[in-house]
Amino acid sequence: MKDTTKARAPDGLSIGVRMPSANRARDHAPRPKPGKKVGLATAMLAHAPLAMAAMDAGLRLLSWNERAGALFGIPPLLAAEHPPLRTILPNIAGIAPAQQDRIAGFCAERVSASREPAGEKDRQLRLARGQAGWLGIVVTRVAPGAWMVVFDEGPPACGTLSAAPIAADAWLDALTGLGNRRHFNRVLQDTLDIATYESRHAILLLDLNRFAPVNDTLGYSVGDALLCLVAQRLQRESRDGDLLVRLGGDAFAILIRNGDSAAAVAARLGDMLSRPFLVDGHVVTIGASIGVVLFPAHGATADDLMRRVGLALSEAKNARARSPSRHTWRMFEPEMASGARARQAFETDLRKAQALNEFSLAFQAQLHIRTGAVTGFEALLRWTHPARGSVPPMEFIPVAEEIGCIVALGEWVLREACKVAAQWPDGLSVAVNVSPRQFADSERLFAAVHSALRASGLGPERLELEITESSLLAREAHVLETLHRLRACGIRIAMDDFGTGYSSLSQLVSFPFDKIKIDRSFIAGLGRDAEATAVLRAISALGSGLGMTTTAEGVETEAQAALVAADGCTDIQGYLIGRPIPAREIDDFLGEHRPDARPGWAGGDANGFCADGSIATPMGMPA
Amino acid sequence: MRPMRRRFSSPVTLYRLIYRSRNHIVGARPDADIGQEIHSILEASRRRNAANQVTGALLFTGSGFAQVLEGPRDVVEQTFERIGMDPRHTDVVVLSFTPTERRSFPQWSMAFCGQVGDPVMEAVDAGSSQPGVLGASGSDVLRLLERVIQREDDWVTA
Repeated sequence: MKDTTKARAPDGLSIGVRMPSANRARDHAPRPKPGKKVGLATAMLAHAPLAMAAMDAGLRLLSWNERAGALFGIPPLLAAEHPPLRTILPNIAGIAPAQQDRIAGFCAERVSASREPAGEKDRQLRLARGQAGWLGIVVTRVAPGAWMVVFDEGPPACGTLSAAPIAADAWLDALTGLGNRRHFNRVLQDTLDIATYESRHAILLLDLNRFAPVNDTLGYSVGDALLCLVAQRLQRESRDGDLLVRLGGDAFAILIRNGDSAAAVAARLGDMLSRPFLVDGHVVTIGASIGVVLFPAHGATADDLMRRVGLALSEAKNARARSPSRHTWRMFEPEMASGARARQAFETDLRKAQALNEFSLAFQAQLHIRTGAVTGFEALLRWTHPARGSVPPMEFIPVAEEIGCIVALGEWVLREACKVAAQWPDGLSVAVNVSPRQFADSERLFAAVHSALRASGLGPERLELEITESSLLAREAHVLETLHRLRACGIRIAMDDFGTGYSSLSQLVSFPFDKIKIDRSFIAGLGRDAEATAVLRAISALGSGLGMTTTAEGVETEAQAALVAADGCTDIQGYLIGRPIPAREIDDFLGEHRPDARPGWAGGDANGFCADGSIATPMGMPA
Repeated sequence: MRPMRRRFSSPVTLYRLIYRSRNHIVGARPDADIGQEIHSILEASRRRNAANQVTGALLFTGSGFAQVLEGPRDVVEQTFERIGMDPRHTDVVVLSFTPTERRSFPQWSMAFCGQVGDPVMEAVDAGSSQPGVLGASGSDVLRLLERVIQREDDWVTA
């Protein structure tokens, strides 16, 4: 036993530790007998106000000191039995089951990584223990086959706690074992309370990209496992002094206290989370958007800082939407606050618009290719604000969806569209868009449709509801049930904008849609893009096989009309047929578009058009 | 240095992971000696893999890496969670991660193919529009590595 000394502590616990200086002959200075010094050192370790234990490669505890015994809640008698670390972890107060897993995993990892590059040795696992403060864990190899585990018990980071005791779980995120939002707010507040003019802190707010589809497609257990892996990666990239928490859902926050450059940390975290994850046999690629705010440069109070880091995060997300490969993180800038004020004003105007009668409907014709007959109109929402003028739907509809006023607005559109359509000649239908938000309360949607039909006297077979793929994606079973109920009443259901978003042909077979509307992006690509043509043909063929009408959206030129006709679409909509017009102009429009006045590309047999789309050379078209 | 050769039999489902990545050794450690870094990567992976029933092969072309890892699913996942985060490479792309009936490199804790300044590997780099392995598919990587390592095996046993 050259390097390792095994001695008996006064209380009977044995401690195995490496004592480098005690046995080195090159220590020339006169000194007490080695045995005596070892005894002293052993006693020091046994009574040290720091919990220490030795374990073997199988994570069994070989020995531990007084403080560790108190932490584990085990008597000295057990010392002879070498209990597995796993079995004593549940005894540590304030440590949740998920955290026990992390401690065991961390120790196993440290034990297997016996020869790490320099710097790795000092790695510490730090866990929030709620009211009990925090627990830091360091594993050091002290002898062949023996590792020392030091448990560093920190005081509550949040200073004096309120009189009412709060359960440890209240500060913890049960899934990842990290601290939670409450913990973060408390530590942030305390950090700011004791900040001096020299303090330089930073908050990183982090949101995963493309996380919802993981839950939707692979299930919640994979989603949960992914969140734990994300927590691990973030933990690995965090310094000891940093506070990492999961705020909830797929949002995490990091408080960096007097630490590295927050920008460098944000860039590194963005890189780490953009690397692929292997979860339960699946390859998942997500990535993160990160907002960064600095104290004191960007704000002095917790409220200010949190609001501004939220703005920076939104900017990072917007930047990602514009150019997916760049800018995973954004530092707060004062202009973001003015942008937020502008948005606030927009929202206020939008909320008032319905009461102020600023909305109107425009109607765009849909035409059956073979007969050249107008089959109906799609009702499109228009907003004309006294100061802003005509606001494009692309701008206000997403905001209305987000702030929720789309539900009441959607009901108004239903009532108004049915009222107008009831005045049209029989056989003409009206198509109304239904927002995914409206499906959240299916009873309300159902009631709105019925009351619109009853009040207008419009037959249900003349109402068509257009839903987007995202409606189906959100909560499929529930949405499908609502759609079946609506369709059972005789109302027709169309899939809108097909081919965008998370398109899946399986969605088409999941419900007996009456119509598929093929997104305008494919029509724009016709003639130039072989892929667009192939997709168009495939959807048309599928639609015809399933007995669905296929409508090409955004048809602007005769050439496009000829191509979509040749590719098998049954109906078209777009500027070629007509721009959206107010209700009062519909009579005139119908007068100009009688089936007998059909243009060259319309009409089937006369120009050799086949229903299967195999002939692509209609007459009257330039070659 | 020749890695330890062992044949593993495994009752659990085997998975094979193939990924490629861009060499970032100099970006992560400006003073690094590339040859030495590759050596240390191999040494660490051989040590761990032998203990974890993981086998595989690493291809280094100068511009990038491609690696095949095969073993029990959870072990491959944990191994990738560690090496995938290594700052010495970047632009990590998983080419395939699927169950497999048999190991392609049953005798190798981590076979290696490539050498710093190897003219063959530089030719691989120069030959494709996207440099080297960065343009390769999973089956390309597997085929290339299998071929090279097999030839090496034959040569050793001959």
